[in-house]
Amino acid sequence: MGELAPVRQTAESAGPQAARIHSLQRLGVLCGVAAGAWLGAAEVPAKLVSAGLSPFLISFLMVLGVFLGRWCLPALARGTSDIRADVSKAPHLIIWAIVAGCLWSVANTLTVFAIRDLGLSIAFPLWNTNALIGILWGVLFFGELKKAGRARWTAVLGGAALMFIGGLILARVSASQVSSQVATRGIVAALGAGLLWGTMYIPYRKAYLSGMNPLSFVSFFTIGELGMMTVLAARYLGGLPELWRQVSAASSVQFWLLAAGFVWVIGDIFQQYAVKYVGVSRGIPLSNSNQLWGLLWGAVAFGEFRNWPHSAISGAVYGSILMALGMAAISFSVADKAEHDKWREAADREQTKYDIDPRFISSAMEGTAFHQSPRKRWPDVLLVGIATAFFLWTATRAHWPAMSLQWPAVYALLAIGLILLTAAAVSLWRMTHFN
Amino acid sequence: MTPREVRLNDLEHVSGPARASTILAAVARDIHFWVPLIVLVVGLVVLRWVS
Repeated sequence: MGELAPVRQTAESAGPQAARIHSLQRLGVLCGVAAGAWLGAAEVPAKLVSAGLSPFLISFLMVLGVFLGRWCLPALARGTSDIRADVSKAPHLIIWAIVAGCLWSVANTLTVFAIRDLGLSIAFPLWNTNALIGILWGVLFFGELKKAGRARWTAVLGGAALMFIGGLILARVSASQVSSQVATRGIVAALGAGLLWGTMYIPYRKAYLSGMNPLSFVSFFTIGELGMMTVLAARYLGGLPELWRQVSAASSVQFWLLAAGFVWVIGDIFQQYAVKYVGVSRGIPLSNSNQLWGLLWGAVAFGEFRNWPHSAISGAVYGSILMALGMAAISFSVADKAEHDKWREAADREQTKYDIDPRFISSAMEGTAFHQSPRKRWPDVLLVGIATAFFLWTATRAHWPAMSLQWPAVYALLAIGLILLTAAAVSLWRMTHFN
Repeated sequence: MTPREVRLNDLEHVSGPARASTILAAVARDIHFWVPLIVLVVGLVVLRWVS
């Protein structure tokens, strides 16, 4: 321990300035809002697919799309050389990333069961309890909200509570009658998914306190995701040959499920940056606004409001307003210097525990590059080329679903999503170069 | 050097199995690691029940 003291001093003296901290936290809030929009939009391609597929098959195909997205987007943004350099500085995070990926796959499969038993509108707010689980782990393990002051505690917890209540109201407005046995199974599945997703933020936060770049972390995260999902799908569908048979038989819907996974990756990458710059306790409630976006897509693009009674539409509006207020409360409660110092202490504990280079941690907390690896273009081009070819190949075999869409609303929602994506991506590039 | 004596920062000088066991030992000593692992097992049990 003694030998580390001077090192820690160096890291602290090189710590970020208050203005830089504030700017990075604003960036984290923007990423959280963009994450909500894109995670919500990820439901759209899946919604286009007709029912009748096994939940394991749906989840497997989505994870395949996620896998392709998680390798080609980081390769485009930073290159595989930087990913390799990052991992060499904190190799233990590969294990953490793989465990997080396994948690994600099991949770995602549980949500498919929950949607089947309860419907999307009820299941969604139940698994969004992940924010409360995330806040618990953030406070217990990483010093989040410590020395935050009563006002910030109230804003974050009050905001999370508002979003939760808003979610419950949204769930009630479109609730249909389901048998109690099916409901119990669906509720357990949804709450189980919330527990798993809330716990998945332990590896996320650990990675970003340790200096890992989000784009590097997700590349290994997805190995756990695809590995666990392949095991689950093969186990529950009756072996690998049966899995392959069902994947081949679903050729007309493969593209939509892969696209759902890809859109989800865009949202998740912003969620990772939100967790990095504003922590679990603020980043997750913000990205959980995906429920609001999911409802917007359903209501205005798919015309789900058409046959709803006036009271249900009012409930949806009130629930959405509560969620928006909760989001605003959390957005305006960015951490101050005292709270940031507690994060720094948590980062120092990780540095001591895993013997990480303190300059690597400091540069990550400041959102700057620690190393500039010479970029090898060919592996990046190869990865992006393979992923693009695969998507194009499945697109040529896809059938446009027999479903009417409100195209003006689709264009409007797409435009808002693209504006948020551009704003968050440009800000990330300008301020951190995706670090 | 035995795996436990190797620091994670020096891993570039260590060969495959020793490198892997050093990393695994460091992670296993971290109490935080067991929380997601236990939750993962709980999730698999729940999945078996609902499927």
